[in-house]
Amino acid sequence: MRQTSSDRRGSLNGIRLALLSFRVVAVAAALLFSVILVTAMLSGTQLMGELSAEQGILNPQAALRAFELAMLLSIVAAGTVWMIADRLLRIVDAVRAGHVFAEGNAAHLRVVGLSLSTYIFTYIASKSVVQAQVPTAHGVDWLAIAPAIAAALLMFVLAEVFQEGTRMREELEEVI
Amino acid sequence: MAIQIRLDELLHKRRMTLTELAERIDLALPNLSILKTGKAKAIRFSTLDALCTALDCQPGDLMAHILTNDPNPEG
Repeated sequence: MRQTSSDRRGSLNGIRLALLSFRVVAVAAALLFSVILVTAMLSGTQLMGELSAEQGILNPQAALRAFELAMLLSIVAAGTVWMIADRLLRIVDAVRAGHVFAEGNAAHLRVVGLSLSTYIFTYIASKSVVQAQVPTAHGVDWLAIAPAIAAALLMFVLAEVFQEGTRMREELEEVI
Repeated sequence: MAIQIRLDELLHKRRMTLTELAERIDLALPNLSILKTGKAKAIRFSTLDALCTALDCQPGDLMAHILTNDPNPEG
């Protein structure tokens, strides 16, 4: 069954609301990670000393630095989530305004692809850094990030499709 | 562009204005103006048909191919 324009508007509004919430969650996560980072920098040595025995940590000081680095990477990851939500929001707004195949949308999709790639990199880096110091910590779950890698590639493919679509639309506009 | 549109000459011969032609073939005046100034990238067969009917001419009377050394014929 074909979607009516009011159905489409409704679903776009729903997506818009979800993306706005996503953006708020990203800011909240960045703030939370910042608080944890500051706390670790202020009183992490004592906490790590207590944890080192039960977690099998050989070098508590190095583990603390690794944890701080992981928190810093998590802040970057939250930033990428914000960026992804923001760019998708801009695409949704452009579609609502009737500009589907526009140059801006291709660029937004490319930024989403790059942000997703950065997110994947920060995930792998933070997991690896922590696991190197804390033997009991969970490592990189490659099966879980496979869809994210596929999604990043999909964004780059879609960006090319939109770029070509924009070129075709512009060409069609010059047909009399 | 290697294709030259000779709309001006035909309009002059038929003693017709661009506005008049636009009304006859039901095409927006700005679009017809784009065609006249050679800024259009392509022309639909339906537009060509309407133009030939309105101006009582053949497609060859409406356009001509000019040999150029331009390596980029798109521009």
